[in-house]
Amino acid sequence: MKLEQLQQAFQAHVLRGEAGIECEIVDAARSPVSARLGVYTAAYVARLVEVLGESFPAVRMALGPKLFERSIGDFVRQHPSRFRSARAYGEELSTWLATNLDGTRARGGADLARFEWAVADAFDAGDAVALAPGDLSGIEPTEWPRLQFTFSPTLQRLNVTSNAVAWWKFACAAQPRPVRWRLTCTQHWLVWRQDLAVLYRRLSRAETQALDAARAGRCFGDLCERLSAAQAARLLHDWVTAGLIVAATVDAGSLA
Amino acid sequence: MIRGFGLGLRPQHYSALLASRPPLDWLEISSENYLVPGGKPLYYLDRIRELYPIVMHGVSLSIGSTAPLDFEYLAALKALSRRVRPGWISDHLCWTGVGGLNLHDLMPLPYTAEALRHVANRISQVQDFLQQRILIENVSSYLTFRSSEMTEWQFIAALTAEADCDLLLDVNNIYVSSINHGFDAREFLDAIPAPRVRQIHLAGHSRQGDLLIDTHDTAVPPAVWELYRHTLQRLGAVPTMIERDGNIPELSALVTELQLARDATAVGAARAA
Repeated sequence: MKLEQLQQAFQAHVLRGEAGIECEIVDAARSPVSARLGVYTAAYVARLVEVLGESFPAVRMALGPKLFERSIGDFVRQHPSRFRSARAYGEELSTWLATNLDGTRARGGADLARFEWAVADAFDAGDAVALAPGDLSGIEPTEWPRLQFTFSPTLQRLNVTSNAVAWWKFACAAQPRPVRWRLTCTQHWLVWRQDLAVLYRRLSRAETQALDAARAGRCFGDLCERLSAAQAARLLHDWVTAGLIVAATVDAGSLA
Repeated sequence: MIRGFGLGLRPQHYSALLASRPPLDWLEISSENYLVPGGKPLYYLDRIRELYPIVMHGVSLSIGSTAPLDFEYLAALKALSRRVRPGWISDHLCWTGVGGLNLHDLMPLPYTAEALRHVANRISQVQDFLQQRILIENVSSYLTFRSSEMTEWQFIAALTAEADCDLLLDVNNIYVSSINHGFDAREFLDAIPAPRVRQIHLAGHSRQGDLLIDTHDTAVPPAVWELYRHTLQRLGAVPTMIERDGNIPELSALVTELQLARDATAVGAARAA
């Protein structure tokens, strides 16, 4: 068997248990071929389950180790990794949990996985120097309505329809255990990194709309029309203080 | 110039390393941990690089795969090396996947003339791209292919000559494979081209039935220390480190364990004198 065929056959065995590679392996009395191949097949699933357990500690705690191991094992068997880094492998877990868990756990587990993924993304997202409050002081009053903002590459915005963040706080921030998954309304969350610390906070509906609009390129004047000038100014102050804004531009001129 | 004794840098030890600045001659990073846009990993890497020389060790080169070389990965590796200025860059003699998939494991190669030509050609391409010679590490393996036409050590010796690459010799991997395949580990060591060996890995393993598994989750066991002493007789002093990836102890415990390698090298040097 040529090298290319041999690798394809070996991989097919590890991923799907396909026959074909066994005859290529020396059968030693001390350990049969099945045991030797078994080291590789078991290691593949075990390694990815372990990586996902490290990436999603709150999902693991919320589902319980038994259900987590079973669910994640199924996920690994159904999703061959296409990622160079094992760290990136959990990207599709949220979608899979939404369709493969039962009842409220499906929505909750999926939301929780998305939240943990957002925290992980913020952890090692690109560095950028945030604007300081004083950086905006030189802007002429006539320029403020046309001011646009560039946000930190660490910023993650997500909406959840379950009590997932309370479960995350229980697992990762020593908060009380939530009693249920269900929520009466959608929650809007912001996750970002300031210096090296990953932070998160819940947003009001008004701030969510303003932030999403500003991230989409709407200028400060638009925010003032949506809210009020005072409210928009207060939000902008909060965003700058939190290190969320890395640049402010008026037309072609940059202030950062 | 990398000399002496080092450890694998692990995130659990960032703070302790910066606070205690233990007497390590160098550190080895897992390259993939730092192929990220920013945040803590790169922040700590830069701080630690100010204190210690660093070598880069990867798991994603897949040098033995029949899939095309991943030049996006190589470009990222090259960019990281510009930041780190490592003593050298190393990866494993293995393949990790084909057809766009990744098994996230160090899969074994058959020791054939076909595989030798294939791997040597790819190492040459990588070295041309990175503009430096790389180190290739022998892996632990759990099976032997019927198609193999030579021993692992013959394959490695021929590969270094053909590709003009250097070696990262993992003494634990030699021991693990020697038990799993029933060969003499000393015969392996004695056939290795000594001038090519730039670095040594020491690690622990675990048992699974009749097989030893390269788990890096225990202290270096006596049998591996014994083989290391034989390695020193054969090669002389080579930059040596302990690799620990599971059940990771306090940094101070690994620094203490590393002293055993220093002692073994000192004894070996005294004997040679």
